[in-house]
Amino acid sequence: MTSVSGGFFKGLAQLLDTLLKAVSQFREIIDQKHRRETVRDILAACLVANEIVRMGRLCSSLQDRSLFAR
Amino acid sequence: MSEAERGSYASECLRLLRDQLHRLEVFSKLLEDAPVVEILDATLKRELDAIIGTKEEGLMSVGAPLGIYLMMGPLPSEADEKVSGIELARIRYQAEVLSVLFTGNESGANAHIDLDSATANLDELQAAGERLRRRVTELVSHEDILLLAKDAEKRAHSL
Repeated sequence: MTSVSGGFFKGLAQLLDTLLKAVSQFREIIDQKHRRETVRDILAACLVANEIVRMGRLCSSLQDRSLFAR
Repeated sequence: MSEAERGSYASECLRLLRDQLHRLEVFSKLLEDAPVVEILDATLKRELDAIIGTKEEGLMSVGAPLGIYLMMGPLPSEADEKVSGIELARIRYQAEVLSVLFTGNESGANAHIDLDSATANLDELQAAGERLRRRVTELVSHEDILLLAKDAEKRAHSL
């Protein structure tokens, strides 16, 4: 179904790791305003990823194996 | 689980799914607009495109059924309704949507939630976020990072 292996959260983790590789190209951003905006947006993405993790854990805690057994 | 508990359980599942979808939309908007995407080299850009993907492939393909589910509501199969009753069939359907979110498997009636694997994936996501956060904070001064962290919080919650 998908080129992302091992599910959605793993896919998001791969995505963040791709951005991590991109950060090595960061020196190419000379303009200070641009540089600050880039850092801000990456930090915002990390923050949202953390919230996704928190909600994902809440979803996990809601699962009741016996209820879903057929 | 009692009948009364099942109702509030289903509402809670729905609320979590809705919140999660909203966060995924915010995440996607942040990346669409992020200046960092402009400096990606061709290989990284291809890698990023392959992960995000389209409605047929990649992360978008997982978000799409979740969006449809939230628009249309739970639509369990008639067979499951006959065997288990509408309420339990709907709750099972919700679990299957969660399964898509957790594992990326869209296996319909045979879907099951592998909690161990989901937890491992969540741990991986958390660790990747932390690696990235730590790396970018090394790129600007300590004073800047405090201000940028506040701006980042505002940006994440304004989308």
